[in-house]
Amino acid sequence: MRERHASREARRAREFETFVAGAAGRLLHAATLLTAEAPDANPRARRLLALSLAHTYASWDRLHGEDPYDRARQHLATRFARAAWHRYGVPGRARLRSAGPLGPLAPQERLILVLRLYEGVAEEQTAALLGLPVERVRAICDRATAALLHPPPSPARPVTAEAKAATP
Amino acid sequence: MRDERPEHPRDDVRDDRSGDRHGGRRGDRHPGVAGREVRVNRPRREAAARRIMEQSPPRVPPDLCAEAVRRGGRMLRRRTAARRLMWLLLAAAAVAFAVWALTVQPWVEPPSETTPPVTGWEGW
Repeated sequence: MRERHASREARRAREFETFVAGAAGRLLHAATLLTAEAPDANPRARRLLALSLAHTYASWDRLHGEDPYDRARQHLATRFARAAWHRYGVPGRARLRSAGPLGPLAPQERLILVLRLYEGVAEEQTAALLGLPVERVRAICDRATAALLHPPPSPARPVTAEAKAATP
Repeated sequence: MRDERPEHPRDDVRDDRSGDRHGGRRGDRHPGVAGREVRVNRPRREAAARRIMEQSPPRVPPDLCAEAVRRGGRMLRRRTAARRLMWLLLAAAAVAFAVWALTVQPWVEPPSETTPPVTGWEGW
């Protein structure tokens, strides 16, 4: 019993290590885009990814053929959505200093942009994951793409106003 | 309204930077102009956004896997412990109930406390 347990644990650790070696780069890039941090100073993205990977590791034996990358990505997205929701109303921490290519965007716009375009998740799956209508996901994605390609001349004020208007 | 004009192939050639200067950010609220532009240029815009997002990937810290395994292992151990504790509590509750039921025997009709037992009426 104990031997079987140990062997299963060793096998799980081995498989998980292979998975992390393959997927961590892309997932960390996605997390860094989500948190809008600089690529070389991304403590929030690292923490987000470590927690998602830990959950993936904990549910490794119950995946039943499901893609672990998909699981980790889902966890990353939902955890970020929840954290952004909680962070939004706090006055002192409402708007952290943001860097990176998606810095001027609102958290929800970043999330949808990363899921839809960077990760290539289908519109319907994104909508189901975030609990939004498909049309809304499409509208937010279009607006975020426009804001990313053509940043407004003074980035501070209009984006803040738009982010407030965009978040219901 | 936005479907009146058929999509012309020349729309794709047009630089979307010039077209979106007035219709992109502010005009997205307006479904007429921006909707058509977004639909026409969608693949190109998405490709451009992807290119912007894919530059400068961060370096993966070397202890990420070990950290995840440590946290995940702790999570698993906690879950196992919680499950064990739950079963233990359930078993204890079952044993306690059995002992109580056997000692109290609530299914036996309790002796009456108000009416005294009637005796000696058979002879009437």
